[in-house]
Amino acid sequence: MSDIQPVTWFEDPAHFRKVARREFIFTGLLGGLGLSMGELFKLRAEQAIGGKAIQAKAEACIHIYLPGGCAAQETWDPKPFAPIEYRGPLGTVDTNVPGVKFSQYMQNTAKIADKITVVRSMTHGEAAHERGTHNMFTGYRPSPAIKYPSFGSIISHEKGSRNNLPPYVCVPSVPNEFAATGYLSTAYGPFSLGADPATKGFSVRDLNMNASLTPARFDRRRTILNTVDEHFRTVEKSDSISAMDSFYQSAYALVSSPKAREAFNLEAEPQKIRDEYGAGQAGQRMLMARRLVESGVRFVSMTYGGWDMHANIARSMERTLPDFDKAYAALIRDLDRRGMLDKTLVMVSSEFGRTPKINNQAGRDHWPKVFSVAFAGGGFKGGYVHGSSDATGTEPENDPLTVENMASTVYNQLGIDGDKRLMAPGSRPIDIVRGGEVVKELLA
Amino acid sequence: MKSILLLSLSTILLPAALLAGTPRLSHVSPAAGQRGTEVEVSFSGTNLGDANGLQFDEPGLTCAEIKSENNRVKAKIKIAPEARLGEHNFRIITQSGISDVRLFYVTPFPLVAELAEDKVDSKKPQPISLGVTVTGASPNEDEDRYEVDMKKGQRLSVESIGARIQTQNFFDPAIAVLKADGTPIMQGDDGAFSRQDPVLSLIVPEDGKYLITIRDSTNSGPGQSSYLLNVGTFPRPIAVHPAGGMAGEEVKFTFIGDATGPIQRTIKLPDNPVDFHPLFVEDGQPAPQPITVRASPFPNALEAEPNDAIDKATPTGTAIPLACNGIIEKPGDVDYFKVSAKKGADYDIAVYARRLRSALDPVVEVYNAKGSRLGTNDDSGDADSYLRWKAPDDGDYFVAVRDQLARGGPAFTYRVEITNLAPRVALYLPEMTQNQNQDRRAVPVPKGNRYATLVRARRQDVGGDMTLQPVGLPDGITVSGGFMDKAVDTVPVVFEAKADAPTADKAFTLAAKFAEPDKANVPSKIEHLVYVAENGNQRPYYTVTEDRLAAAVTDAVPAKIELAQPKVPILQNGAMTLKVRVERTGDFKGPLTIGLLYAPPGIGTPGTVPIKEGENEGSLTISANSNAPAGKWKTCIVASVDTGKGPIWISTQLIELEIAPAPVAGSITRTFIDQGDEGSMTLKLEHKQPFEGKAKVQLVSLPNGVTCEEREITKDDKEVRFKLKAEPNAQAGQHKQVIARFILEKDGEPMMSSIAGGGILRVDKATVAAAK
Repeated sequence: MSDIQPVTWFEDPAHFRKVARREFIFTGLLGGLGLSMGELFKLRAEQAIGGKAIQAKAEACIHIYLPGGCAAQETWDPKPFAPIEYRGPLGTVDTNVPGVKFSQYMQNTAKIADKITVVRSMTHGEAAHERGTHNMFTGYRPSPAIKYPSFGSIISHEKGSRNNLPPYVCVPSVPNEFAATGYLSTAYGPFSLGADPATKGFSVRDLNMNASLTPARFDRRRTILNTVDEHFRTVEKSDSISAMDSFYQSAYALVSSPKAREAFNLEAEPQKIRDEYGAGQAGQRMLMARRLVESGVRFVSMTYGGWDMHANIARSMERTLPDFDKAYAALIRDLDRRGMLDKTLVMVSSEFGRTPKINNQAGRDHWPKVFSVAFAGGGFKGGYVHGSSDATGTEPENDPLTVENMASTVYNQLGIDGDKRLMAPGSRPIDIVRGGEVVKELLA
Repeated sequence: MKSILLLSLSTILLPAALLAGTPRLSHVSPAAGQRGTEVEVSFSGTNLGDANGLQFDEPGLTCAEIKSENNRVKAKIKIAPEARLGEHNFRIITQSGISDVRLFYVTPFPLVAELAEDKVDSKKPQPISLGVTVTGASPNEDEDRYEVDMKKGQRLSVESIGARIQTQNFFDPAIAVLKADGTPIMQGDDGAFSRQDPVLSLIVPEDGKYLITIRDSTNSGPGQSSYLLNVGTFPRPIAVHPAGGMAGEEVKFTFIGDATGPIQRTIKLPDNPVDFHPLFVEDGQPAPQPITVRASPFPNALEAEPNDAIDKATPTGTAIPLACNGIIEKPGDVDYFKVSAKKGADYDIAVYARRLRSALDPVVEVYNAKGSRLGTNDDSGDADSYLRWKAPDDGDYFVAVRDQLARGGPAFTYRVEITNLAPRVALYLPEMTQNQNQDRRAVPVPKGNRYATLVRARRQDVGGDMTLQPVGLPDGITVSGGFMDKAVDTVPVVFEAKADAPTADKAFTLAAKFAEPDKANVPSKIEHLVYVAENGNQRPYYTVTEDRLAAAVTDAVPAKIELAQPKVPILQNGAMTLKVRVERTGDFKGPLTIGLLYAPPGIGTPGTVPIKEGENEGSLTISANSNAPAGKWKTCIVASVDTGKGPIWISTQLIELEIAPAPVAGSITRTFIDQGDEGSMTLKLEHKQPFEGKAKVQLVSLPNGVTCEEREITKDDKEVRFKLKAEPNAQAGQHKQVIARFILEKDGEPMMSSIAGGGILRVDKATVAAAK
């Protein structure tokens, strides 16, 4: 009868997420007046309170998110001396940092370990996918009272656009609802490619005009939109109108700027580089991320794989991890070669880790108590392992890293003070990060 | 948006694709046949291409012919005239495996297939005669309409079967009867008797044509949404009183809920007790679906109203064991029965209502003569009530039954069985794969090879060591294992087929025998519950409990595996590597995935391990935790191998795994070292049992940049001082994970135990050292 099959995040109906009704507002642009009134009236935070000026170490950030909850034991924090039911089925590889081992499927990453910081003591208390994801995308525990903005939206809000490019881009699509703007205006929302760079004949969904949309029609739509906006501007005197307006202006700028559009053109990349990253989803997405930050995008949020390995983790890792390893190592090398690593922060995270013991389906279940994340560039140390999990990977043993401290440190490197307060609807000042501190040990 | 939708659909469909294995049966069409006829049925699923035959639950159904093209299998099923009506279960047997259990219905009526919709008038009904079983489907918002011609005063009964034959998502049929002009007369969705597959019974008010409609109740019609629709003038009661009787006796039953009113029938129950016995009422035409009663080894007591107070309790007039039968006839009704109990005796009081499809949601209570409540239960028997109760004194007690929401009605029937404790054992093959309940729950044994399964026991009111003995296996299969220690409820059993065993399939049973003579007569039986309609990780919609297990001798597999018997025990807090050898035949080079089938108490495994393509050696490391009880256990390693027909499982022979305590315990003394310096770490030893010769001890999991040499000890050493060496760049800080390992070789095989853990070593920075 059938073999035990790996079941991952995307394959498990219990975890299946609804596709966002409107993944990206640019669809509204090309869809003419398809914009909902609710979004039109969404307030944006204009004012801000406090916050000191910080010299940015990193100009851009690539957030590589491993959805489903990546097992630290099979990636960054193997336990070769633990009993086998904790150790799991995989072996280890020595890295170029003495004494530090990664999983056997991280042969390439092992060779660039001297350029990255691995945190083996990441911790929070949310074992449900959506709550863990919220933590890792916003730096906040989920609240029933307010929606918090994602890292990308905060950076978009604080730093704005460069080179006519959207400041915040999702590859290939908005990964989850927490990657959105929260209480900030939708103007700070992510631009998503809407298609996977690894597919043949890939093109960004909203970057080129629909074939049936003639320039005349497009202009007419724009005129109608202006009329509508003008009406609301007069009647409502709402901030959101100007927010929307600026948003559309940047959208027009993007669509009409060939140079900006070129940032999305993977075909322009030499084949040798494309091969170095790997032809799979991980490689092409990471390559796209590099192209985007190189061109001026400030925050690229990228997902790869399904890491919710409740069953047969050995097979699932074999299927998922090597592509990540190849692409990630290529990305770090590539950024380094181009002299971009110092100015680009690469963060690898996941919503949580997985149970210390292998379960009876040969997999591991959800475990937020301790897991691993990795940082590279942007002023983070190289060849450094921060904190540790205990002998069985059950709890942090040294230097636990909280979500708030992680967020503060990331913002700090991007030149944003986490203590700064942004204004939420109802004139409610809310800290970018509540109670977080910059973890100096992580920084070079 | 379209592409997004497509993406989400394909993602949703993936779990179904995961069912791919050897072999899986997902859909049967039509899932019915008229008794006394031969019907052609087609099956879909995966890896069914080499189908050989069908294994039915009862005689009377036989496979006259089976042929396959790709994954489309067609069979001719011959149904004997005397075959039992109603639901049957069956599996497809292929040359390489045994499929899931699926359902097949024997009907008294000829089958009528749903016709294609009229292209001009999609609402035009399909005329059918009375006394037919329609086979159709209503997927995707489809509503099917049928038309019957009736005379005033005639009974029209309709039964639907849909939710039960949809296997991987949820189809919930809703039916209705309408006048020809579309005026609804009666509609049915869910009910206690029919659950999600509604039934209707009515007397038609005038001569004329009537419409019968069927659709998915949410109009979504997922998957095939196939249904069977029995339409006729047959009786369709929905409850019976009494809800059971004494096995072998004639019982006067009143069937309740038919449109014509109560129907009285005297029926002889089977000679041997049966948990759930189907009764088919006949009145002109026979009802195609049964009403279920209990056939018990004890007599009935029937309620005599009024009995709604202790002082009006119905006397049972017979000693325990007995069954009290009644109906909670109106809202607020409570029925009392007077029973006589013995001081100190334990009794089981079990209400059967929901399990027999009664509308009652029972609550049971026990009172003494003074009206003090001595016990109560609502839902311990699923939605039914179950109570274990000890009588404080000899005398009369009162058992009361009511509805949990104080509802009542003519169909609120129940049966309270009051019995002495009866030790018994139920055996089954446990679920192996989450959300794929039927995966690996039968015994297909490849010729010249082995297949292993876990067998689990539910020992009720009895404990002790048992041996499981298979009865009625196909010829050429032998069995090893089956001893079940009193401390566990699961054992691995290995089945081996001779190379020349004939291809065959058979349902077999297992008998459990206790080692202690006074338990020799404890009965055991197979209670193998499988999910027939399963939907992801939701609760199963429909289950079937089989009283036999399916076995088959299947085609040879070009790989066989052997497990080397370890010569030494695995030590507590230790690990051992089990070695597997693959013997390949022909040019088969494919990979295998191995795993330990049974982990004895305290034993841990890494899950599954691959043996790569072309390789003939594999190993699996297991560990024993500090609490693993010392003792000897049988276990084996199983492997899945894919020869192009989906994964096929094979097994090694059983080996004996001994768990023993480590001869030595230890503790690591806390210490520190400076970067670039040398130092020492002391391991204190406590000997538990003298060992011969020299054992190795080593410190592992040292901080980066700190090394230490292995040492040797004898049974006389009290402590070991390890020399430590720290590199100048050794990782500074406090390390709490230093482990001391003890390794003793015996008969050329190592015995390893981590005799101390959590050792603390602080590495100080060189600058700190210099400052000192």
